[in-house]
Amino acid sequence: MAERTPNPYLTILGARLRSQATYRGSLWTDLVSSVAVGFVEFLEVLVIFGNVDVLGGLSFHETLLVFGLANLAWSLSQFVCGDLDNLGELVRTGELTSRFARPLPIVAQMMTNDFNLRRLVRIVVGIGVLAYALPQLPIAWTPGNVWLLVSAVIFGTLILGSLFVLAAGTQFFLVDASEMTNAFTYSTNYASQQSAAVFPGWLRAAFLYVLPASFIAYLPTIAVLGIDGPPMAPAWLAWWLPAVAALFTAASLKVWAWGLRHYQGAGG
Amino acid sequence: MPAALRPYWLLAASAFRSRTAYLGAMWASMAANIVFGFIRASILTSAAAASGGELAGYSAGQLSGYVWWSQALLGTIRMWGVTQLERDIKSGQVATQLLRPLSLVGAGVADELGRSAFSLVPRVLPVLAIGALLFGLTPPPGVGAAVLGLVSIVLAVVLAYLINHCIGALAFWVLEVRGYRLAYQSAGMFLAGLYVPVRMFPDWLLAATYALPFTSMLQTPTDILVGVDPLPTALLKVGVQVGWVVVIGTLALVMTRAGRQRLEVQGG
Repeated sequence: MAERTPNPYLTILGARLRSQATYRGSLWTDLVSSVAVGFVEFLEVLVIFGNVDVLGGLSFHETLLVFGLANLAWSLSQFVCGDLDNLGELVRTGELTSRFARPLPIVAQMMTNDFNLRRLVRIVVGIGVLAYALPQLPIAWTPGNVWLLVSAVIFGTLILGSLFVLAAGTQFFLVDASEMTNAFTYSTNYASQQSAAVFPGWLRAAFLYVLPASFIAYLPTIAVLGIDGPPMAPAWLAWWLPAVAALFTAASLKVWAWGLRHYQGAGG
Repeated sequence: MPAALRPYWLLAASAFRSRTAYLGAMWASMAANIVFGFIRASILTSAAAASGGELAGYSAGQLSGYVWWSQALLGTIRMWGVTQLERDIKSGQVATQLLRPLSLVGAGVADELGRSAFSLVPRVLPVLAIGALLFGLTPPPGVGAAVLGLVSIVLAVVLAYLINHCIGALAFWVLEVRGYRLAYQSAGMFLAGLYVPVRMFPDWLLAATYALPFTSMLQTPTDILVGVDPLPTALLKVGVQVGWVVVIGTLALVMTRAGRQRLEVQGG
């Protein structure tokens, strides 16, 4: 019988998990604080709706659906791709060069590099909000609506994850501008949690057709609830989410590959 | 200037000069502040519109002013980030710092003030200009408010540093400060009024918030500059800021001294 080679991904992931479990005190404070980050975003929604009844054409529960879907997709993408954030540092120090010697694609290495329990725990915020909001809303549970909600999480994760790849790819050119690339990643997340109707027209167009933030949760939400969107954001666009996600992912990988070719190392 | 203060002045001046070397990074984080400002301003101006033009005592123009002043000041009043102290304790470098005939706290404050002074013009003004152009904002109501606002900004810078110093000094006692830092930052930014003005909080939360130092770091200068507080209230709040600087400053001195007794640097 041929000997089975252990799957390199699983080996690396196992090692990451064990190493985090070693420092128990740090692990706990990390877990608690990362849930706190998600919870604070939720508090913001609560506080705003303490002052108004409707925001951007959505009621409190409707807004929670947008928030929950977007937050879940964001936590999942952070979990998978969050470490791509550190790419700028690796490029600047030239440490990336050593990664080429390893027998895994760089993106896969970065994804497993910081396989992080802290980030996984954050999904409880999104799941909790969805579990509360969904029963409060008059959603017809047709196959189409189920698909819209499930696809929001899957393709939302894909879009946000690709955004990390895109941001990382541009860091090969803008070595010193990691804060700017981060801004686009984090602000897309923030924008995806909002009703597109709050944005002035130019910003709404940008978050639909340049960085597809409003595709992630807002469009699926108004589609399943049968709400008419503001100009430029009709509900039927929600059905195009998979295509938009595919296009955005392809473009991000292209930029990444382009950046990688541009990389020349640093130091000496 | 008294001779004893001269080294601190020189430290502040050199921190000011050193920032000129990082203009690229500064523009990048300014771009980040602006993009977030777009989203925050959109949310709050539509919330104001939904509640009939005024929200929690702010006019629409004041709300927009609140968003853009707070976004603009984020680079000046640094509530986040890893303090040099935390890194120095971890690496053992702090031993060298402690050999110097200067107060560790004093040197940190001087460095912070120098760095903030530099960011004031090239970073604050462009953010305000873009906010004024695209969303419109109310100017400070008079010379008195503008001057008091400036004083309040300086106090906020010092207070934010002192709290960060205390968090960093935790590294004398615990192995990994990251969890504590993240918890402080996520809760702190919310309670400081970065996400929504604290006046929008429900009463119980508002009362708790006013008993804590966070509003002194962002909400106070911002409220003074947009003119939502009458002058006597503004003066009182600046007095509260002074109080917190004294309290937290004392804590920082005590923690640094106690940590120094505990410090054990390995290697040689």
